[in-house]
Parts: sequence; structure tokens; C-alpha cells
Amino acid sequence: MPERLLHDLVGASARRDPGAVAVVDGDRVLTYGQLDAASGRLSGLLVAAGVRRGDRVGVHAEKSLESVVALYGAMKAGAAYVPLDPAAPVARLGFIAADCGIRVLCSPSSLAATWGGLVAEGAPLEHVVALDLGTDLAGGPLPAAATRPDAPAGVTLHTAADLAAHAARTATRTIDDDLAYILYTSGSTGSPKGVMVSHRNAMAFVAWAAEEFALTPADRVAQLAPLIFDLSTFDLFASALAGSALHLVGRKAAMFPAQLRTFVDERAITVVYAVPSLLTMLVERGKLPAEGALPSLRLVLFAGEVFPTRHLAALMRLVPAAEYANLYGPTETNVCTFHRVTAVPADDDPPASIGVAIAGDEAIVVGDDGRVVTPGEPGELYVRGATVMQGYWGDPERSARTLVAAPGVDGPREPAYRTGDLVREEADGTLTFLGRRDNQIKRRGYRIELGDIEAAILQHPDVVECAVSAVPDDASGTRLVAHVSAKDGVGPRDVVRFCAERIPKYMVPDRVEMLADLPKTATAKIDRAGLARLAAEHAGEH
Amino acid sequence: MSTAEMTTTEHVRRFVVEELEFTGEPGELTDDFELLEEGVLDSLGIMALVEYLEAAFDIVIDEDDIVAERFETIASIAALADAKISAG
Repeated sequence: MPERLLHDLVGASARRDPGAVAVVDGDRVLTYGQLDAASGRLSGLLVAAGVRRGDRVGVHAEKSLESVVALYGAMKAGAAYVPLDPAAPVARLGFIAADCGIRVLCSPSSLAATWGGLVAEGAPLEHVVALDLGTDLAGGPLPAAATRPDAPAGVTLHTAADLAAHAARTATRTIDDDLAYILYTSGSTGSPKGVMVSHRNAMAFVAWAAEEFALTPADRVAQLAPLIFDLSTFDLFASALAGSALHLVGRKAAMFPAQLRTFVDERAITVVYAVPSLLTMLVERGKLPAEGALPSLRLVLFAGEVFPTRHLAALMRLVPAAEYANLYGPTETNVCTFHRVTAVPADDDPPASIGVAIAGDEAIVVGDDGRVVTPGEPGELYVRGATVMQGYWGDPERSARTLVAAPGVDGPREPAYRTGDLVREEADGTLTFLGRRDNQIKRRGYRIELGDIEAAILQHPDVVECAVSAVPDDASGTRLVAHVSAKDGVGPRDVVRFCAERIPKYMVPDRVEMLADLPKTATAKIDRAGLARLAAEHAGEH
Repeated sequence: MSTAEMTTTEHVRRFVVEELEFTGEPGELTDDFELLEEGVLDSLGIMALVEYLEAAFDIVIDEDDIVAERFETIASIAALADAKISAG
């Protein structure tokens, strides 16, 4: 019987071939046997620290062998893991930890300086597990002999050495409706919101993906996306299902296109799943040879934003042997539709279709009147099926607003998620992405509500009003421009610094323009369209 | 100071402050400040910086030089630009 829980995938792969490579981080390797054993011992430690079924365990770490062990350890202890981005402002991480009640955190000693900050921001921390201290999980020496830091008052520090006291245990009994993880995304109210994903939701996507793209133990999958990003769930769990090797790509290596090219070549990577902006960089600056580039690559998956056609075409010409597919879906639905790009498009072709629903999901196009539209008519995409989230953590009101009865569906009313994306069903049954219903945008694959940025700026005591515009930009996809009116003495740098302390870097405006007053429409609302034009004109001058 | 009188180090620092919108305390941004470690330079910032340096100094920075070791600090970036200027 196929596995129904994400952490059971590791156990199953370990039983098939315990010596097979599971995770590679630089020159450090964990086999499936070692990953299964280490995460089992960690779950023992977590349970001893008081973790119970249904709890949330924070994983505050860059990608590493230790963080992969932490995800599985948390799930084996019956908890949902909650990834926390080390690069995000402490205020945001503290909010998340307080919001979903993270009492136990897995975090390396290199981040010890932020633990106190998390507590100060309201995180109810009681235990921190620093797996980089003590003994190497794979039985080898640790890369650097880190010194044991001080834990904040009232917080107990555990290290990998403490794992020895815990035998690998049978995982806490959970069912597939229990939460596997919570991913926090941008919210329109200025606060991040936690998308709750059950084992069943995640497994529906993972099992589909592993089969559709025929992953095998011979595959070497690059993990490019950070753990906070839902692209990472394909890398982590489809690999585990298939017994493939997961090659972690460090934050720095992913920043430098030529290093990424070398990484793919040297590791003979077969599968990459990335945001288009990263693949575009690889094309533009990766110094790919004109023929026979990246010969090991057999599959390139992309998602998160529209891939400009000419860059996709360039990549397909440079790496002709690989297969290409566009995966679509907000975090709330995971991947719910996909489209294989089989022929190199012309540079001026429209962007790749988002295709058709994946197995187990249904795409419904709904008009303004709440009825299913006829094919060819634009409408909002509703998604129903196994991959759709359980709701937002601690926010039943918002959950009820976005998870609604599916129009046109008889029988059991499993809710559909309103994506807010406008699409059109073409004559061949595929879906074309048309844009957003609201002012949410995509930037480097991250979803951003412009209102979220405005809410952050408006917290500044001297800011009177502000409007943020998204300006298309060939290099980065989107530039964010904030128009702000404020009391004398507040300059653009004050606004930017204020934002940087509150919201992630990808949300901080690229440019801030100070105005005495923001222009208004006839109805006395901020003239957003006018400001967006102003921002676009300025961008043209650069 | 006109841009013509600026050293490469000053050019790089100005780029970090004005274009990357460095948000820390100005005194913190020494020549040896860890731009990558601290998350000041990200992938798009690197590409923008390369284009800026190429235009400002009329140099070509080869893709093989766009690697982490050369972009760790203001000092290492300025050294890369200086090497290209004297080679040009």
C-alpha cells in the first residue's frame, strides 16, 4: 500500500535501500538509513521535550542535512513543521512563532543570537534543538567545531549529542488528515498567514509529481527553493518517495548563475524545479555553452510566476534534451495544474499555458455572478481536490472566505479554494492565466500583497499616506515603487529601513518617492492608476 | 564629489547604499562588511551591480568572475573592478 504520511516515505525508501544517498549538502551525505534513524531519534527527543500530536515545531535554519532531519523528526513526533527563514526580520519570525505557538525550535548554533529576539517578539519558546552541536548525524565529524551558545532564559538547549539518549522510536500515531506543515505567506492585512497543509494534501501532489515525472532512485534532484517556499515540497518529498538523491543548493550558490551551472554539471543533477527568474539568470549570466549545456538535466520544472517566453525559449534551445513543464498553484492549493512545454516557443508567443488540473484536482472557472462560465469566457479560478489546504492557522473567518462551496458541483461539497487568479479555458481544455483580481503580485516567485507593504509603511508614526505600485522590469520581473507622504524629516531611506525591520527583503520597495500629497481621484481615493503610471515613467528613465 | 573623482570602492559603496538600499547603520558598512552573509546582496542585486560596474568603468566582467568569493565584501568587489580596469 502506498504511504500516506510524508515521514513514512523516508522509512520506505530506507527499507528498500538503506545505503542509497538521501541528502547531499556540500561534501556531507546522509543515506536513507541514516536520515530515517536520525529523524527517528530526534522525534524521541522532541517527544521527551513535550511535543505532542498536533503541535507545531519551528525549523529555523538554512537548508542543511540537519534541517531535513528536523522536518522529518517533527512529523514523526506527530507535529507539523513550520519553516522560519533565517534571513527574515526577527519581528516577522516572532509573529509567526507566537501565532502558531511554537514552543520547540530546531535551529543551528550559528543563529543563536536571534533566539532571544524571537522570545522578545513573543515566541513562546521552551526548547531549542541545535543539531549542529555534538555529534554529526551521519557519524562523521561536524564541519566546524561550534561552541555551545547560551539559550535565552527559560529555554532549554539540546544538541545532537542528546540524540544518543533517544532510540529511534515508532512515529507518533497520526492520520493523513493531520497537519504536515504550515507555510506562512504574505497577507493583505499586513500580517503573514499560515497555510495549513495536511499529509493528505501534500501527498496528493507528491505522489502525482513523482509518477508524472517518473522520478527514480537514479535521479539527482537539486533543491533550489528555500524551505519556506512550497516549491521545496516537491524537492523534499517527491525525492523521498522515489528514493532519489536530494542535492541542497546553498543560498550563495543559487545567487551566482555560473556557480549554479557548475553545481548542476559537477553533481550531474537530473531534475531542477525553480522560479523563472532564477532560470532566466542562468540563461543570461550562466555562461552556458551554445551546444550541449547541462547534459545531465532531464527535467526542468518551473512555477511561481510567469516565465517570459523569450527566456524560456532561450533555455530550451541551450538545453534541448531536457523536458519542460510549467506547474501552477498558490501555496493554498499546492500545485494544482500543469502544462508540458514540448516545442520551443517563438519569442513573441504568449507565456506558457498553465495547462490542466493534476490528478485528483478539479479546476472550475467562475464568473462574477458566482456561476461556472462557459469555456472561452474569463473567470476566477476555483480549485477543488486533494491538494487544497485545510485553511489558515487560527483564522477561521479568512478560511471560510476563501474555502467555499464549489459552484456547479453536485454531491459531497468538499470546498473549493478561490485563487483570486483570472483564467480562461481554451477550446482544448487548457487554462490560460490572465492576471489577478486584486493587487497581489508575484516577485521572484514570492507572492506579495501590495496592501501588506502599505500596511507596514503606514505603521511609521510620521507617515500620512502611501501607495505601492508594481512596475514591470525586464531584469527582475517587477520593481516595487512606494509613493509616500510624511511629516518633514522623513526621507526615502527612513521608509526603507523601517520596512526592512518589519517585512521580508523581497517585499521592501526598490524605490521610495516622497510626495507632499498623494494625487486623488474624483472620489477622493488615492489615484493608484496615476501613481502606477508615474512609477513606470520614472523606471523608463533609468 | 563628482563620480569621476570617486574610487572604485566609493562607487561600490554608493551602489550598496543607494541602489541596494542598505538599511543598517551607515557606520556598519565597512569595506569588509559581509554583503552576502548579511543578505544585503541577493541574486538580482548582484546582476544589477555587475551591470553598473560594467557601465561605470567601461569594463566587461566575465561570467566566471561572478562568483561568491568576489562578491563577499565591498573590498573584494572593488578589487575585481580594479583588476578589470587595469587589464582593460
